[in-house]
Amino acid sequence: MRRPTAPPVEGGPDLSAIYGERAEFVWLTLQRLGVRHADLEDLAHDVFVIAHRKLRSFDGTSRVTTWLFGICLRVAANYRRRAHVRLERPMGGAETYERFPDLVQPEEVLGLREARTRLSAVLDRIDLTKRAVFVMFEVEGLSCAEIAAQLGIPVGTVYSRLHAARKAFADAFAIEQRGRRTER
Amino acid sequence: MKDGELERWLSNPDAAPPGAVDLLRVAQRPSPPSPEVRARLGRELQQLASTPAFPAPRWPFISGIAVVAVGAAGWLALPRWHTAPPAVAVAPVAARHVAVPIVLGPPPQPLTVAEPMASAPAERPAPSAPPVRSHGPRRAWSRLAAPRSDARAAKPALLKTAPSGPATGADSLAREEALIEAARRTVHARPAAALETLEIHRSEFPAGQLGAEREFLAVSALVQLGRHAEAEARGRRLAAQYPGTTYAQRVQRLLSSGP
Repeated sequence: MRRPTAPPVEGGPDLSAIYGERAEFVWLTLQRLGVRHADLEDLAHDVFVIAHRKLRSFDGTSRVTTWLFGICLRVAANYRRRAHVRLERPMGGAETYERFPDLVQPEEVLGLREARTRLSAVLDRIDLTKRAVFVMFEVEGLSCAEIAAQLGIPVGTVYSRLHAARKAFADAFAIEQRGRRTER
Repeated sequence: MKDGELERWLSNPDAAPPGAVDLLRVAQRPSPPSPEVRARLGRELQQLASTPAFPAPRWPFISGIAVVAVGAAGWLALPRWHTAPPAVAVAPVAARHVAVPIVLGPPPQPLTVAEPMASAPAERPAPSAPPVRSHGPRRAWSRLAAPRSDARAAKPALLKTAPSGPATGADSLAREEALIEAARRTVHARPAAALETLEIHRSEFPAGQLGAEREFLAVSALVQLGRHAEAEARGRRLAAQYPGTTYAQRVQRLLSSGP
């Protein structure tokens, strides 16, 4: 079925331009929000489908990345609700994506995988907005100014989200550790 | 490494909960898409970019679709569903009765108030002096940040708006989009409600522009509900009806991932 071609929105960004400039941002953001590699392509597609639909309501007063981050949040929140996502960790196919430090010996891989699974479980308990800032700062090593620039929010907001995220992480980590002790 | 007054936990493990740094140390950093994936996704979106640009969404209406769908489930069960044309019997009650723009773009239209949805026939003429109140523009971002509270606030307006004229092409597309978006929002949390919304879309737009997306979401909902045989049958129909589309590929991946 061939659809009619729409005229571009006057003066506004079009989907191709947004994708060309922001595909990587969306891809990275979805990972920060806990989307597994096997699902990234589908969810990135969803993000841009929604972006396409909302282009006319994007008024340009916020940054495109801020706008896209909001869409990523919604898509990732829906993703989190999928029961099978929670039950199937780690996902099949992840091994093709997993990267380990060069010096890791084969016998250490299992331990690394277990640690990463535990980290995912802890991060999954954190509110998505805080989780993104936490991962950007603590895992990726971005500065607060860089995070603020990417998300289009004041640096002060980054600081406050990071403080809240650290507290949430500590709480979630304590729960995870209690669970492990119970299992033993 | 310090950032202003903040020091990373990896640089100052004493500030972190004991043991937490061991996990952070092995964390895998997010990585960009491979050139192949990026190109593939770009090609898929190229198709999408050639589709009609969507009108500014009417969010109270969109958010309320799921509510309408649940109510419509009982309506669907009534005998008149089998005798009356679907376009009159179900969703248009909401489709053509709601015009509550609260988004940026064109100047906001006045909200009109009429009888509750359940008692308002589709043919009912609009009141002669409908304007009652209007909403000021609201930033799209604020909706994205807090869709739930908006949805709650929108319900009364959804149910109290008056009928307007027949839907134009743009209105029709907006309604398609509203139904699909409502289903997308609920497909994981409330797949049964999403299926009902998608059924409304199918009855109103049997040859709609968003048919492939509707069918994909329906398959997702069926999988969520554990109705795998139905999901597979519907997935096969999707692949046959919309060959080569992104949704045909996605449904194949979805079904091959198993129950």
